[in-house]
Amino acid sequence: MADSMVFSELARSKPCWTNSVRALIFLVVLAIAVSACATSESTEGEVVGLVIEVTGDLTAIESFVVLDSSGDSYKFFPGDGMTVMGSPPMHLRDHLVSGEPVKVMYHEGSDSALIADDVVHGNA
Amino acid sequence: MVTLVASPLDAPDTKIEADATFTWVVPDAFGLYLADVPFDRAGTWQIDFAISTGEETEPFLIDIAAEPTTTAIGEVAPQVETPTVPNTPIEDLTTDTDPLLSLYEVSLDEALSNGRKTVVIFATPAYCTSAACGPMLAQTKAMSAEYPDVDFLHIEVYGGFNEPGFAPDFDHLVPAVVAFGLPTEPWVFVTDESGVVGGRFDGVLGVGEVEALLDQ
Repeated sequence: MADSMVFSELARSKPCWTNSVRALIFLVVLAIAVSACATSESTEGEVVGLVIEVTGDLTAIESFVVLDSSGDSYKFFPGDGMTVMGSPPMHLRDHLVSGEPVKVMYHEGSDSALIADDVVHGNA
Repeated sequence: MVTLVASPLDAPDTKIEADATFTWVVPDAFGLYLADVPFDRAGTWQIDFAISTGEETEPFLIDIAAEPTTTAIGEVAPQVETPTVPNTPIEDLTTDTDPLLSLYEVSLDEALSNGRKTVVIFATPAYCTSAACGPMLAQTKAMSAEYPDVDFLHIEVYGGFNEPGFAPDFDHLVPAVVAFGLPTEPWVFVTDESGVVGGRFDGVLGVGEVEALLDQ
């Protein structure tokens, strides 16, 4: 709100084309500010635990669930470009069978879903 | 002692109990508990374990399908022609870094129709490195020496893995994997002399499981 008032006062003392440029710059700055704000509010993190559920097929997975040592479970959805230890995503199922832990690097999506960015061996 | 307790989510008072027995996958290194559970209806089931030492485990859910989506026990295995040596270079047939040539000498359709028992493993050794998945091909290779009257085959899950730009996507699944309807890997199928599936193993093999079928 305060920024808008400052801009309005400046606009009154300048030629019309200048106002348009300033308005554009202001909108760009505002958009960047909003974007930065949104980024700072998103959650990023990592979880180490056991894979207890994998849904999908040989070519793609739909979701997977990791149980951490505290007994909390996290349901992840694969993000664009998610890597799984250099293997197809269904490699996660091998970890489900073997009980070998994984580490998931993730961020929170706009709908609060947990989006997995990278999955590595739990002891990595 | 470990007892598996299965309950349908929509009928939690119904419980099926089955004793689980331990078997090694890699002797003295890694093993698992096996239990035969006669699921009598499709749907979501909760699985719990009762352990005689009193240790607690987390329950988990599994979905039981009304019909199998993967070639089932009792069905005739799909007779799919698969590439073999010497028509195809061995390095284009397997990602195994130490391949056993005899696993690539007979096409699957020929093996399933020649009157011999067949053991076929679908696996991608290059990706199959975990403690559960990794040993499966090694176990199969070791068994092949003990059963000279049985055809042992290894089929890669993805084709064209040496081509530039290869990706393990649907377009690269080999025809046999599609025909068997495999949702995951690795799998081992054991067929009788008529090509009928007598056993199938998903993800892991306990010591002696395939041998028990071949010895029948």
